[in-house]
Amino acid sequence: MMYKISFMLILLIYNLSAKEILVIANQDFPLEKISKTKLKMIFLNKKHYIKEIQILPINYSPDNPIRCCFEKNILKKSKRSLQRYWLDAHYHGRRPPKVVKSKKALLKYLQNIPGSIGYIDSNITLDHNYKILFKEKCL
Amino acid sequence: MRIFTLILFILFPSSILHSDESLNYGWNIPQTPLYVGGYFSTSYDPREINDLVFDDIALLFYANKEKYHLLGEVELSDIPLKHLDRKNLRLFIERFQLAYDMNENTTITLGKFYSKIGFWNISPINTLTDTTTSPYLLESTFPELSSGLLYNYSFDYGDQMLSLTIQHNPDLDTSYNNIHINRHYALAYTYLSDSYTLRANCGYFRQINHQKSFYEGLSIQYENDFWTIQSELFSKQSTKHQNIPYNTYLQITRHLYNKHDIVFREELYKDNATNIQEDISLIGYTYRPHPFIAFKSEYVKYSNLPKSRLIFSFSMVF
Repeated sequence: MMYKISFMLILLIYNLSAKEILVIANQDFPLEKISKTKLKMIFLNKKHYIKEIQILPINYSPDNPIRCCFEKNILKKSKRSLQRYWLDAHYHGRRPPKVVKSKKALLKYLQNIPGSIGYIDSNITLDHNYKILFKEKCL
Repeated sequence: MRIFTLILFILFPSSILHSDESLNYGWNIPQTPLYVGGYFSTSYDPREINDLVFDDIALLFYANKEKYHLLGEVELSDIPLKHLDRKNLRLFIERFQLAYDMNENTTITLGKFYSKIGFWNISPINTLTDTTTSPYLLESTFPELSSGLLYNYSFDYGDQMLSLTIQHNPDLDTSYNNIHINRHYALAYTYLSDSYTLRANCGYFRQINHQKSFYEGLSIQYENDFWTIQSELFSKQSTKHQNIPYNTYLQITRHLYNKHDIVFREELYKDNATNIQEDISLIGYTYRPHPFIAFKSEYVKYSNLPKSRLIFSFSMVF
């Protein structure tokens, strides 16, 4: 019984402490909510338009922890698999998303470009310039 | 030809120097949306007279501007390094295509492109494939390239796609295709999940010698961090008794420590045109020091040939 309770507690603490990703976009982004599949298509450069608005995904540099979480939980791809994917995409004339170096740069970009979409960790207060489209726990 | 070689030599070191993934692939011409890249592949097969061969040296260029996507690829292929005759070298237009996003689900492509059939045919270059040699079905069952229109429709949820190929004219570059055709109509339905890809394919083509063929096939792939398992089964019915009743393979790739792959492939086909029924077994090892570089070695055993084959290759995309 004690083991069971301890295990449940550990699981609860782990869940509470797990980081959360917020997928955010410019206020003029054409959707209010977005599905995981659509997000995956956008960040793998398979979907370029939503309701006639060009979508511009923004990413962080490859070693950024929040990006690692995004790739694992939303794109469901390993580093190796993504590297192969983008090499293949290059052969078909497609590029990976634009990369920014910091959260600050990402927010600035999202504020100014209508179809832009990116993600941040949840411990940040957002003003009315952004929309939250999707939330996901980092497991 | 000299300009072609010069561009390749400029691009090659620039791709090695960058560590950022977006810079590894291709080189952006400043102030333009145009990217230039390329690839090459060289192989060594001691069984052949020309044992050391440059299989491919190609230059890629592409640009994406709003709803338009332009892509071109010119290539020199099968260049023997020991008995090189410069007069026989010729540049081929492998692909030249302009795509337009009609809406969020539909893209149409015009030009010369890889027929969207099966798995091997979509990205057939050495660095991107698991083995240097390709399964027999790639050579014999359907036209690798089509010149015409490609219509792609992705369903709203994004996990299903329809691709329609229409060619109602001769090839754009008649000398560069596995089958010389002037008609090709094909349909492929793709279902994608996180680990699985399933593709059902069918089509009709007419060769320049008026031979007509129908083909149909099923392709399935499972992928996770450790394994990639791929299998395809195709069949072709042709006039003039050139049928291929079955053409299939199962390929299993074990990924080890990110950079190493071990590959097993078992192929089986019957081709009435050549009157050959064969089974081909392959075991291979690939080392990728960087995702865009591949060193491969493979041992291939043919049921109809007394000698087996050992092939080594080095290839790179930049």
